[in-house]
Amino acid sequence: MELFQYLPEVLSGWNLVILIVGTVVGLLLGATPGLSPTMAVALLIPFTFQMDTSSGLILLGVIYTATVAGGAVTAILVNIPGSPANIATMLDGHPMAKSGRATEALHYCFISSGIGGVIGVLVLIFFTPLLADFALGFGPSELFWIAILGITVIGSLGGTTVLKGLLAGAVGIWISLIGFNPVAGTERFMFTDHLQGGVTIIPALIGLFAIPQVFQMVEDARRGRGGKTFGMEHRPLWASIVYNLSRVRALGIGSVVGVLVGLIPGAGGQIAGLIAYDQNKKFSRNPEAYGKGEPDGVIASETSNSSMVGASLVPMLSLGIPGSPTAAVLLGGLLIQGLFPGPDLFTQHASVAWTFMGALLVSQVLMMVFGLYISRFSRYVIQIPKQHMAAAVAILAVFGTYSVQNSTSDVIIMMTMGCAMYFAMRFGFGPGPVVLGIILGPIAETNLLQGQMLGQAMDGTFQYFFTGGVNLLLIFLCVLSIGYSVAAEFKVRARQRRQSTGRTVEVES
Amino acid sequence: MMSHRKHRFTALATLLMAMGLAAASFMPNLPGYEFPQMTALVAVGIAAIMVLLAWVPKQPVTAADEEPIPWGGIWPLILILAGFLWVMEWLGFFATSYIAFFLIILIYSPQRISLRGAIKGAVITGLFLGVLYLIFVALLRVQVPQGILI
Repeated sequence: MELFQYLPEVLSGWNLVILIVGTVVGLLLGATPGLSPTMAVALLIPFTFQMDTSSGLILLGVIYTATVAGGAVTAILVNIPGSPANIATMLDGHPMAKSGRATEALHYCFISSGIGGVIGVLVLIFFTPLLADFALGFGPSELFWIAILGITVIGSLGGTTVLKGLLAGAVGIWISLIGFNPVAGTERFMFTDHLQGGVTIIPALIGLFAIPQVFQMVEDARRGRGGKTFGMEHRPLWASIVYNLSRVRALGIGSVVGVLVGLIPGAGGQIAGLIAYDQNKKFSRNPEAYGKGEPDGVIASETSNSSMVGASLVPMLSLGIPGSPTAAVLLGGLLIQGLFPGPDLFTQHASVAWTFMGALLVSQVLMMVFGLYISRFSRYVIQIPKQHMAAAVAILAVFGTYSVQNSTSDVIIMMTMGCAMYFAMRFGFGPGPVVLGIILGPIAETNLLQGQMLGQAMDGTFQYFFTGGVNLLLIFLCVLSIGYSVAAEFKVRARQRRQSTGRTVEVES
Repeated sequence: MMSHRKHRFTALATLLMAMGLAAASFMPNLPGYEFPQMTALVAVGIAAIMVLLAWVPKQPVTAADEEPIPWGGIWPLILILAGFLWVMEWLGFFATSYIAFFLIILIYSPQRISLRGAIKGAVITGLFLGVLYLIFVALLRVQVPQGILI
């Protein structure tokens, strides 16, 4: 297997240093309230330019892995999930910490994350090349529909409501079209000199994910949110390992749910954790213990959100459809390095692809080892005041954006988009669909224009885009993803209507 | 949660924004604008559905995802960020960052402003920017905007 061929490269001097430093930094970033995995990866992309392609991608991958696991620390200790993926961990992790079992909860968190993470990466290693081979025969029409599918799935699953998610995706596509038409070369929407180069991925990523967090953190700081509400006990690690490995059902449900949710583009880690938690509770003999400090709740949710990480990269690396918002940011990092997802990645850049996947596998083990060691110091990290974090993130956002092209225009674009996103978020729009629109918009347009030319030379444009098994399957999936989300939203609305006592406001007739 | 009137206002503002995108896409009437036009039309369609749903009578407002903007808390940050962009090239990145960092931690500290707190804030700011300078500028030679200061 090709993985073994490239494994020595993963463990070579520089890459090993990146893996170790990235794991430690990722765990600390994840354990810092307010720093989500998506934002951490977005902030680090500019600094990977100094590295070779493999090392840069390894750093981003390992940060993704470690921040998701590290996010559980704040969820357990202070009842604030470090990332949305850790919401389910909070439900039983924090009650355990409050009752003086914080060390035990942190042990289960990192052991389960390691097990789930390894399973997720194994799925990535075995499934990605197969799916990429399938994509080998895709032409512009199929690639166009894949781009649209990517936007519809994250648009419909990533936001709070389907319409808002889809609208945010459409706005993201429109923003990505500022600049030059890729075929005709026409200049478009350059309202100021700052938009001469269009809106590139880095300023958009950093602005959309980091700046709204800065606003959120200063708001929290003003309200004085936080405070120590946990007790850390001394507990032998061996006892936790034995107990954790004996919880086969929680580990099994967590892994299966995490992998399945990760493979569905756009579903996101928070869904994986919550579904696994819910299913485990349903199968439990003691469901009333959940929410009061049940270790199985922590084990199932952490196994699930970590196995989701590897699986969410399967559609991203093989088809260019990210499985989660952080995978969308990683896709941006991949494109910036001049690499395009799909079969070419495994033929022309096989060393990069296999080294990256091998590094993710090693990073799961490192994350578990360092996580268990570092967790005892996490009490210090979570005490960093929010206003300090906000200031640091704001400065790093400016620094990272400027350093890519030495362009003040990029900084202005980043800041403007970030502030606009903060206001949009107050009205229920999420940054995930906008980013995906910005990344997939140019891919969709280029393939649409190429397809139009091919179609005119063949049976006509309509026939080219709307016939053929794969085209029809992709169109069906687009409709299905929107239809499913609409149905799910109607269900939620109906439930809310039934429970609408006080929470909702009737419209005056 | 917002009132129904504000929910309608959000939907209307969304429609206006989408129509703005459509106007910008259709006005030039040049080749090469087809895809932006398609995108803008889709945005207008989605926004129109949102407006229609906001006007459906006897429906409960399910706008739990909408929150009012806390202007009272965020306006100093907006001023600091705007000022950062304004003076960064004139003053230099590190000098501007020092001022911005210091102001953020001072203004948003939950404790009352005191001389001791200000000195502590100034030292923390200096340490953070010192580490940033050493790693990225001195070691990795990353370029930052240069002004009359550093």
